[in-house]
Parts: sequence; C-alpha cells; structure tokens
Amino acid sequence: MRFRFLHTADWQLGKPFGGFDTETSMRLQDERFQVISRIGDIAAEQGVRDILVAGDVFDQEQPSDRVLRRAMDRMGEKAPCRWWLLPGNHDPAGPDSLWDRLAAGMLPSNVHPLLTPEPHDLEPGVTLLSAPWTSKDPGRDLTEVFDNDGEGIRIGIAHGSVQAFGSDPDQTSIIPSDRADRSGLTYLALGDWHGMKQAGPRAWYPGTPEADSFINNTRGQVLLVDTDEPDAPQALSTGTFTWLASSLTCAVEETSLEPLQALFDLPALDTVLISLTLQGALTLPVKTDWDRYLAEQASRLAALRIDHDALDVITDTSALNDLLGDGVLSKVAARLSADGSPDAEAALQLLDAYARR
Amino acid sequence: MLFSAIRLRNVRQFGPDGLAIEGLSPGLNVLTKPNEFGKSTILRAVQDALFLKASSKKASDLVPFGTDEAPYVELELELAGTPFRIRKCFAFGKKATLHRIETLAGVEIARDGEAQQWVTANIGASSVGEGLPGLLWMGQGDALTTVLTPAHTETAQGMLSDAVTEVAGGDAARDVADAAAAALREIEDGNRRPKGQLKDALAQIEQQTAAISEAEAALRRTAALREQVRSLRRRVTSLTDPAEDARLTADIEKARLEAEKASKAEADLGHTEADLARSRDDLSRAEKVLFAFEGDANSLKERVKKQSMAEANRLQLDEALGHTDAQLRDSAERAVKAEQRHRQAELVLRQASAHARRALETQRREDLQKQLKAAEALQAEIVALKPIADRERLDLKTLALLERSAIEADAALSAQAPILSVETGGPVDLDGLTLNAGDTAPIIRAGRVVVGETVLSISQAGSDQAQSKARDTKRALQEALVKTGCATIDDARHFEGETKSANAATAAKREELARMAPDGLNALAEELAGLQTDGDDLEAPQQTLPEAEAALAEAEIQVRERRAAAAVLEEELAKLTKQLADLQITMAVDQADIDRLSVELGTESEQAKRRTELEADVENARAAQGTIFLRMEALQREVEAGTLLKDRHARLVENQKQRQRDRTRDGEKLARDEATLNAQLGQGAAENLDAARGKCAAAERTRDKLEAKRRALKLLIQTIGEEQAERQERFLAPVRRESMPMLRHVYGEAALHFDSKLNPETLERPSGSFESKALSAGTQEQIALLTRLGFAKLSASQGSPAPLILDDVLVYADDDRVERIFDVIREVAKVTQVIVLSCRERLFERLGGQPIEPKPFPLRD
Repeated sequence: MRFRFLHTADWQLGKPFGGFDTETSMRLQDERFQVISRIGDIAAEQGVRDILVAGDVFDQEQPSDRVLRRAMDRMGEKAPCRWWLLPGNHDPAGPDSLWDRLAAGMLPSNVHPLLTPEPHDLEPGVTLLSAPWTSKDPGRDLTEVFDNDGEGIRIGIAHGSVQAFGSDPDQTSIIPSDRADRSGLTYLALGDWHGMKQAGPRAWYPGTPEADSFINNTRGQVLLVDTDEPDAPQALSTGTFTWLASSLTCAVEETSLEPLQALFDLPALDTVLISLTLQGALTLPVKTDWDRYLAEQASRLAALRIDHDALDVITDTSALNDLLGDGVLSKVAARLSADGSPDAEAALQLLDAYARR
Repeated sequence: MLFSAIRLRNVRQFGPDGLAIEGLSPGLNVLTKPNEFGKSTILRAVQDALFLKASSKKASDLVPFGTDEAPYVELELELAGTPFRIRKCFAFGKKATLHRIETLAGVEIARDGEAQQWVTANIGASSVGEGLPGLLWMGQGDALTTVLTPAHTETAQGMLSDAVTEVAGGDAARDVADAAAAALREIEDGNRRPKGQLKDALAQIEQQTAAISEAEAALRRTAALREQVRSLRRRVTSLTDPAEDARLTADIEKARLEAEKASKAEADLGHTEADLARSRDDLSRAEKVLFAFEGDANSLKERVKKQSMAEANRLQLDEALGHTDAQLRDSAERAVKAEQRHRQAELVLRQASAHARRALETQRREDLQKQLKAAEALQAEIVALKPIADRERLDLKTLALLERSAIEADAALSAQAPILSVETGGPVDLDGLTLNAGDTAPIIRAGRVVVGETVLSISQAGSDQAQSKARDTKRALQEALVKTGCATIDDARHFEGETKSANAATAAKREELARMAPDGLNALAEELAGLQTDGDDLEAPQQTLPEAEAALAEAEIQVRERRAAAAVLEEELAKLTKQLADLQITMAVDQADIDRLSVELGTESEQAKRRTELEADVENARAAQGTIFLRMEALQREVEAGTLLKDRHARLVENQKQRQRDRTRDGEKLARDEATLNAQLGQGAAENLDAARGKCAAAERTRDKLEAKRRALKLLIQTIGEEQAERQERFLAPVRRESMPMLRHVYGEAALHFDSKLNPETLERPSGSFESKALSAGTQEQIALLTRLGFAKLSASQGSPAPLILDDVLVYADDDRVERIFDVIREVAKVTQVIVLSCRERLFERLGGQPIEPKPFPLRD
C-alpha cells in the first residue's frame, strides 16, 4: 500500500516583519497567505488530497480575526484538499486558544485542527498520529503518545526540535531523532525548523513554504511524501521571495566594484532580500564608490541590509590629497583623519563623496 | 608706474583748446576744481587712452558735444624709471586714428595692436576695471560700494601671491561645505529641528511607542478578561450542577416538614397563654383579700398603741403650760425695772452734755482774741514798710554802664598822657606837684614844669578829644546820679537794696496775715463778738459726758433683753397651747377608728381563723399558676425551634431562587464576556505589538543612522569653517598688515575683516561688530577708500607702485575723519603716486601735496 501527501510547516501567518519598511513588510505578510493557494495548487497538480501542516500555522497565540479568516478562506477554496493543522509552540491549543475561535464558526469543512493526540484515519489503512502543543511549554516529549502498536501506514505529525540539531540538551520537550523507528511510524512529519532538513530516519522538516529569514538562504518549498520512499520526499518550490545572507571580505587593494556586482547578478531583484556583511578593509575612495553602488542596488531590491561594523575604512590622507589638493579640504581631511572618532570617520567619508561630485 | 603728464584735446568739454596737466609729482597731486570742470572726464580719458581700442565706438562719448572732432589723449608715464609717451586719437576708423607708444624723444616703440599689447604687458591690464588701475582708480561714486568686482578681487588676490595655493582650495572647500550644508538641511531645518526622514523617523518612533503601549495595554486587558471568563465559567458550571440542584431540593422538603410541626406548637402555646392569664387573675385576687385583712388587723393594733402614747403626751403638755406661764409673769416685772433705769440715765447724760459745750466755747474765745491781736500787729508792720516799698525803682544797669564809660575815658586819657620821670637831681615842679629823683608823674593834656629857674610848658597834641570824652562821660554819670537823688553809685546801689528788702518783707507779712485772717480782721472780730456772752452758771454734773453715755447704752441693752425674754416666753406659751388642742383632736379621731375596726374584725381568735382561710386560698391559686407556666415554657421552646426551622426552609427556598437568578445572570455575563474576549482576541493585539516593535526598531535604526550623519555633517561643516577662517586669516595677513594702521588712525581701536572675495565684511569696534553693508554711507565710503589705500601701499611695498587716482571721494566724511584720512593719503603718497580730483576746494586745500594747475593744450600750428 502506498500513500502520498504534502508535508509543510511553520507558515507563521500574521508575522509582522516590522523590521522592514511598510511596503516590504506588507508584501512579505501578504505572500505568506498567497503561498497557501500555491500549496493547494501543487496538491491538485500532484493528485494528493491531504496536506499536513506540522505546527506554527500562525505566528501569534492569538492572531487577529483577519489573519484567521484569510487563512481559512485560502484553505477552504482548495477543497477537496484536506488540511490537517497541528498546533505548535507559536499557536498552542489550550483553553480560549485561537483554535476555539476557529471552532466557533470559522472552520471550513476541509480544514481539520489536530487538537488532541487522538488518531485519525486519512483513508482505510492510513492512520495519522498527532502530537499537538497545548501550552507554550509542555515540558515533555509530546511524541511519546505515538508509542503504541498499530496496523497499516502510520504517519506521525509533530512540532519541535530534534536533539541532533543542536538544541538545548536539557530541553525536555525535545523529540528523539529516531522517533519514527521507536514508534513504528512510516513517516514523521515535523515542523519548527525553517529550512528543509532530515531530522532522522523517515523524519523530515520541510522548512517554511515562504522564507522568512536570512538564516537558510533557500526559497520556500513543501515536501511531497510518498510512503514508499519516506526517506526521499520531493521538495517542491513554493516561495516567491529569496532571502540571501552574504558576506564579503574586502581587500584594501580593491579598487573596483566587481566583487559587489557579482552579488547582485540575480533575476527579479524586487523579490530578493539581502543581508550583506562587509569585512576586511577598503580605502576611503573605494568605500565611497561602493556606498554609492549599494545605494543604487537598495532601490532595486525588496530589502538590503548592510553591516559594515567589521569593515575598516582606510583614510589615507596622502591619497586624498590627489583629490583635495593641498588647500583647505586637505587640511580638513587631515584633521578628521587624526580625530579617528566614528563621527570624524563618517565626516571624512562625506568629504570624500562631496569632493568627488 | 607713475604719470608725469596728461593731455587732452577735443575731449568733451575740453574741446579744441584742450587741457594739459604737466609735471605731476611722484607723490601727492591735488586738482581742486568746481563741478562741471571735467575732472571725471580726465580719469575717463586716461582709462580709454590705455585700454580702449582707438577704433572703439565706446569712445564716441568723448567727442565734444555738437562736433565730430576726434578725441585725442596723450599720456606721459614712467615705468620702472623709464619714461614713455602714449598717444591716442579716437578717429573711429579714419586715418587719423592713432595708438602709439613712443619715447619722450618721439621714437616709436609700438603702434596700434602692438601698442595695445604693450599696455597690457606693462600696465598689467587689458581693459577698464582690470589690474591695479581697475582696483586703485576710483571714479565718482566707486567708493560708495564696498563690494569689489571679480576683476578687483582677482587683482587683489594676485597681489597676495604667497597664498595662491591656498586660494586654489577655497572654492572646492566652499562647494563641499555647501553640499554638506544642503545635506544637513535635508535632515534639520533652520532652527536645528529634525526634518525630512529624521523627522519622519522620530514621529514613527513616537507613534510606534504609543502603539506598543496601546497593544500592551490591550493584551493586559485581554489577559484580565480571560481570567474573568475562566472564573465565571467555573462559577456557571457549579451553578448548573444537577447533583447540587437535587441536594438543595431534598433539603427544602425536609425543612418544610419540620416547619409545619412547629406551626402546631404555636397554636397550643396560644391556648396555654390564655389559661395562664386566668390563673394569674385568681392568684392576684386571693392575695389582695389577704393583704386587706392583714392591713386592717395591723391598723387596729397601731391605733390602740398610738392612743395610749397620746394620753401620756397630753399630761406632759399640761405641766409645761403651767411652768411657762409663771416664767412669763416674772419676766414682765424685770422689764419694767429696766425701763426706769434707762430714763434715769438719759437725764444724767443731758446734764453732762451742757457742761461740756460751755467749756468748748470759752476755749475758742481765748484763741480768737490771740489771733486777732497778732493779725493787727502784722497789719501795722505792713503799713510801716509801705513808704520804702513803694519807692521808685532805680536803673542800676544804666548807671553801671555810665560809670564804666567814665572809667574807660579816664583810662584812655591817662594812657595817652606822657610820663615825666625825674632821673637825677630834682626837685621838679609839675603843675604844682613836686617830683624828686626817681619820681614819675603823667602830664595830662598840658603841664607846666619848673626846674629851678627854668619853666617848661608842655602841651600834648591830640589829647583834647580824649579829655572831652572823659569830661562828657563824667557829666552824664553825675546827671544820672542827680536824678536818683544819690551822691554816688554805691549810694544808689544801697538805696535800691533797701527798696527790694521792704518789698520782700511786705509780701511775706501779707501772706502770713492772709493765713491768720483769711476773711479779714473784721470777720475775726465779728466771730469773737458772737462768743462774748457767758451763760448762767451750770450745776456740776454727776458724771462726765463719756460716763453718762456709757451708762445710757448699758440701760438700753437691758431694756431690749428684758423685752425679748418676755416675747420668747409668750411664744412658747402659745405653741404649747396649740399642741394640746391638736393632740386632743387626734385622740378623738383615733378612738373612733378603733371602735369601728373592733366591730369589723371581731375577736383575736376570730381574726386568726379568718387569716388561715385566706392564706390557703392564695397558696392554691399559686400552685395552679405554676403548673400552667411549666406547660407554656415547654411549648415556647417548641415554637422557638419551629421558628428556626421555618427560617431555614425560607432561606433554602430563597437560596434556590438566588441560584437560579445567579445562573441566569452569570450565564448571560459569561456569554457577553466571551463575546468581548473573542472580539478582543480578534483584534490581534499581539500582532500589533510585534508589528509596532518591529517598526519602532526600524525607525530607531533610521534615526540613529541619520543622527550619525547629522553629527558627521556638522563636524565636516564646522571643520571646513574653521579651516577656511584660518586660511582667510593667513591669506589676508598682508592686506591687514597694511590696512590696520590706517584703520586705527582713522577709527581708533578697530579691525576690519574681509570675506573670501576680499570685500570688507565686518568692522569690529569696541562698541560692537558691524556688517559692512549695515554701516553708514560715509563709513562705507571711508572703508572702501582705506581698502584701496591699503592695496596701493601693499603694491608699492611689493615693488610695483601704481598710481592711486581718487575722483571726488570723501563726500560724506566729517571734518575730523577727513583730516585723519588725509593723514593716511599723505602717508601712502610717500610710497606711490596719488592723484586726487575734487570739487571741494577749501577742504582739499588742507590735504596739501602738489596742486595741479591745468593749462590749455591747443593744436599747434
């Protein structure tokens, strides 16, 4: 017997992305709803009915009604797909939780919250075992409830860290990486890790369907799982935005923009977010050129963050003299250079930039 | 460079006769001519001769009005000690056009275009306004603006050749500073308040901070409401518990049955209370009958006893009455005797009083006689003193003054008199006074001295006046004494002393007399006459007056005591009589009661029997009441217990109703609170909080970035400003060096600051710093002039002296300033040529220098 389904997690709907400008944060928020429709489309394309969402469907314990309704509308539109939603650490089930609000008239018929460990038959011979979070800190391995015998295909769905992933070893809610073996599961659908990873035998994290941080450098995806090949789920791209964390070590001899230009040689720059760390050293004139170039690129990208705390700017006043002559400006440059304070350094860069106009 | 001659012909008003200024000195040259003479024309002609092409139509306004003559200008000048002549004729393309440089001997050096190049090379300028001529030749009104033209600035900067390299950086620094200022203006406004993105970021931080607070408050409200809902939910669950409902219903039924039982006991208690009331009445009646019987029996006993005691009292009263009556009679007799003694004492007292009055009158008469005699003696003494006391008083003060004048006049006369001293020999006769050796005598006014046979007559010149005064004063004194009737002034003093003594004695005696006879001697005599008659001889008294008075008082006391004793006894007798009457009445009444009660109560044995019967009735009634009372207490206990049971039943019923009401109320409230909670949760406060925190953090990053840029821009602008100021200082040092002494000479303590274009910018004076443009027209003109003088001196000190031409300057200066500026001009004229043109003849005569005397310059045949 063979069973196929989609495995996704960590949608964190309603995440505000407040660190970005208003337009970008709105686009990022909106895209997390749009990806639901794309997942539904993929399910239809792949001929699967069940979509397992392994926790953290919502970013907040108590999202707004707007977030709940938009999510339910998107999922409801994709019937006959069935959405199996597991409460995670961000959105645990409990008294007066968001799940109660959903149950009070918001749930479409094809959306099934997994609020208790009670098994569900996805179809004859296919059992879904769930380990929902009922509080922010359960204090135990919730997948322990899977330790029972059963027949047919047994699929577990859980949310949380796996020890092998370097989480705090004292954390009591950690899931053993061999949970699938221990509990005789055909496949363990996990959530919590925002990048795609295998957590153990027949146990996978799909990552977020729409990336939300610079950590993993991947675009969003879902896993198409075939119980015949539980260790080789197929990753299907769903994300729109690309989040890139780049680091560039500069050589003081550098005089061109080429190392920078290579970073921005990407398609659809307006859907790309880059966090760029500059380190090493640049001369002041080159740094001025780079700043100008980066300012241009920033206007093309969805977002550009630059960290140049670790970058030394070499303010060689002799080099400046070529530009500034030996008049007032060269003396100003010499004074600022000798000052050495961050303000003086910034003033020197401004001087360089203005003198070049 | 210096001019030695300027010649014009056919130039404006100078026409064909022309004008020649010859022999200009290397120092100060002054041309003072009235307006319309053509001073400005001379400067214009010099400038055009040097810099205007001979063919230039610009020279057309040099053509004399109404002619078409070609203007001709000829200049003789010295360059580095070599003389040259420049000849120029503006014939506007005609053959006569001429531009020629030649030696004074007429040897051509350059012509036309070459001549122009020669001028440019040697004068350092190719057009009007350029080079040193442009800077140093001040036409009319040029001094009224302190702003240098760009060409002037360039020339001035050229003179400051040491600072050329620094000059090169000036514009770039300004551009950078301008760019930085423009960038800063995007961040803050003129009042240094945040602007643009920085303002937006700060507003965003404020807005998001408020949003954070609001969201946190919303979350707190939601959490509180959630707790409330949970609590309410537990309560509603408890209120709707069916087991609890069943338990409550059973309790109510049980209480109801117990309450019914209690109601029956209440009815029984009512009946028993009626029985008890009846029993109480029976007992009360029996007790009253027994009490009345006992009262009558006791009353009879008391009355019999009282009657016996009354009889004893009556006997005592009779005895007391007899005794009191006897005392009363005795007391009346003693009172009569006392009254007789009193009358006798009164007679003795009257006799003693008459005798005493007669003795007092005799004593008074004797005293009055003595007093009258003494008063009459005093009156006689006063009369005797009167002639002396009434004498007229003398003016001793005037007499003393006259005496003193006479003494002083004599003294003066003596002081003036020569002294005749007989040294040896003698005797000598002086007016009859013999003087021997060693004697001396004064000669007053004149003297006759006889020495032997010799007779000397001596007269003292000038002593007449003193002698006359001595005589006059003596006469005045004598006349005054004659008026007083005294021979000498001492007599007068004695006379006046007697008068004063008599006056004093008279006053003392009058005072004594007034004391003795305040109403006069006659009043004393009348009083004495009134006492003169002696009465008949009186019988000697039995007692003295005090003894008689004491005896009468003693008699009066005895009379009062006897009378009081009699009154007391009379009162006692009346009282005893009344007591006896009252007692007799009481005894009669009591005897009547005794008789009545004896009939009613019967004998003592009959009374004992009756008492026993009545006491048995009371005891029976009391026993019946005790029985009823015990029954009623038992019923009351039952009723009290029943009340509690009925209360409990009612409370349980009310509890059940309250539970239903609570269930309804709490259920409704729970529904409302749940709806509110859901509505609050639906607003997504946590989302809002996260979003606001993110936006706030982003705005803070923007703010920090812009603030850092703001600080950097300010630092850059400030550093550039400081460097520019320092550069300016260095650059202007030579100008300052030359102009400062001049400035101080004119204004005292002052300093002039220049801007980057070398324009005077501010004038610092002890009273403050003044922008050049804000100064008065006069001061502006003076500063412009002083600046030119400074540059002229600087140029000379650099080995390139150039003439300074001043046309109509110092229009607005006061005399003091003019003098000081003249000093400066004279000083500058020591190192370079200065040509001053002015219409103010008298003022500029004071400047000195070489006067310019123009001559005609007609065309020679």
